[in-house]
Amino acid sequence: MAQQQDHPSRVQATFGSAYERMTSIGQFVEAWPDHASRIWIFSSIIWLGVVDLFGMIIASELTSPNLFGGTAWLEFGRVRPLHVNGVIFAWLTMMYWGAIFYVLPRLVGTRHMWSERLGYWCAWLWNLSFLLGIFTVMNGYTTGSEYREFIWPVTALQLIVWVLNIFNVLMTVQMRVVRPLYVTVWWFIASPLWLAADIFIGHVMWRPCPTAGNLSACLAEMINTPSGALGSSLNDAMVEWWMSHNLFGLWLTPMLIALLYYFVPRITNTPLYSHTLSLISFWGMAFFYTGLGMHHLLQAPIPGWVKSISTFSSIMLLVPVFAFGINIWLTMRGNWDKFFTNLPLRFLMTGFIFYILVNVQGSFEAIQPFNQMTHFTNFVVAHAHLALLGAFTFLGMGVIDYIIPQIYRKPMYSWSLTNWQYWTITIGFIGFFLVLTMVGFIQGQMWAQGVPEVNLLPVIHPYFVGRAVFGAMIVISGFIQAYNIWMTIRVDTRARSRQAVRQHMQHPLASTVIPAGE
Amino acid sequence: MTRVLNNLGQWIVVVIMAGMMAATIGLLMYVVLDALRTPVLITSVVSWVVTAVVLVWTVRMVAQRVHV
Repeated sequence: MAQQQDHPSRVQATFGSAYERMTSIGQFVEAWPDHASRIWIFSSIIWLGVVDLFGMIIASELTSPNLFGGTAWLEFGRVRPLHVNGVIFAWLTMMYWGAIFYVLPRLVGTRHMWSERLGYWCAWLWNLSFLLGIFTVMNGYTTGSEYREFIWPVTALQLIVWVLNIFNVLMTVQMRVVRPLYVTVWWFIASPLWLAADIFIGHVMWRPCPTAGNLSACLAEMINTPSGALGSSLNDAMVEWWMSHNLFGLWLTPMLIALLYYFVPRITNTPLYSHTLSLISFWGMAFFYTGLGMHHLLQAPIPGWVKSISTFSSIMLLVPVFAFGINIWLTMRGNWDKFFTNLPLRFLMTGFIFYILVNVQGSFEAIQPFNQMTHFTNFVVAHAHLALLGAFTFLGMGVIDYIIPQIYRKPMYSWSLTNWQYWTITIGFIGFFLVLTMVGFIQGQMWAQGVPEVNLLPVIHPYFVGRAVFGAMIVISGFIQAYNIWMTIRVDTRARSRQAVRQHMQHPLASTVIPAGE
Repeated sequence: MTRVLNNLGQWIVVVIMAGMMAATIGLLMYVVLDALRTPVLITSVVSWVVTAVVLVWTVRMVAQRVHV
């Protein structure tokens, strides 16, 4: 009896008061260990700062070419691949795996992943692989092939970690308590498998050293091969761009869809609008996305039928994209007030809107005449940032700002800082995107008129200064988040939150409404 | 011992993150001054000073708010 009476106080000591058990989105917090999720998420937050700084370095080099006095390992050609690979594989991929390890047990009804320890050590191995990647590329060891610059041993290590993570996911699904698989779990199963195949084929992993005759020559070739394993050929270019665009189509996009299918209904406390639409988006993406990578080569001498298929696939992709878009849009029906009061949701939905925009833009870019005007210009760079920054990074920030208070079972240190984070990156990104788009049109028009590049550079220089300024805002936004998360973990935010509520309620004009986000 | 290592690790992360933020501000300062055609020496010195100030300020701010 005494034990029963003691129960509420023990619950309160462990999980906080009834109010504290409710997070900003009003979800009851239960105890999951989330060991694997934490380390992937923390790593991603740090990597976001690192890879954004790489971006800032190359943006600065575009305006001030002599900035580092010719220091080899800080040259544009070495730092730019680290920025691109870092955004995809260090920041977004680690955030995605953290989210998978957080969401999956909750969806399949288990208390943890099949092996939290395996997930934990995989995160360290992934960090190690990327550190190796930075070290090798900065020292000039690269395949020199866009989006797959890392040399064979680094990619092999990443593939091993990837397969271990897939195994962990499949075993967790296998031991599930909830038998039906929600659509998010479909993506969690399919997408990592697709990407493993994509990397294996795209990096031609079965030919680490195509010409070497013995082991030592093979090792030397592995780290010194200047191009893909198929040699400097159009075939290699086709494999490369097939692989590169599938990074988006088979991993980054599916995970955005999977996470929005989980978080939007969760935060708004509304069921997903249509299961049928989610099936159309799943199979449509699987069918059309793999064919569109070759639209990067519309201006190259590849077979006409390949170009036609890629253009067709690029346009048809809008079908599953809009199926997904309508589904999320109608799930949000009647819930748009939460867009203004719930910051994680605001990040997620902003990422969603940019995602729809980038798909429409991308489909138009795959049309030959439009492609002719924009190819090789900064319009493409703007498009890539609309995807990686506008869609996926906004999503990632929302996911992190949602997950961390849940994992630690306490409120965010400062929702005001999160608000600053949101507006800093939003203004920074929109400015950055507009500047690059304008530069793209200027370049396209001037090239079409035959203006020499040397005459074009002074024209676009002021725009590149603007790009660096807006870029700095984006970087700072990432650091605001890192600081906020750090303080959330280190400080007693429960007491802080209680005090804030008390102060709010003591105000003569206070209503019973708790301030947004608190 | 574990506690000491843990604290040390956390301090390293704080300094690295603060260093990266300071580098960002420093680069921004360089780009803006360079675009304004400021002499290279002044641009470099001002950028380095700004970087150092932001680094020290950020680490101090974190240290004041939380006992690492």
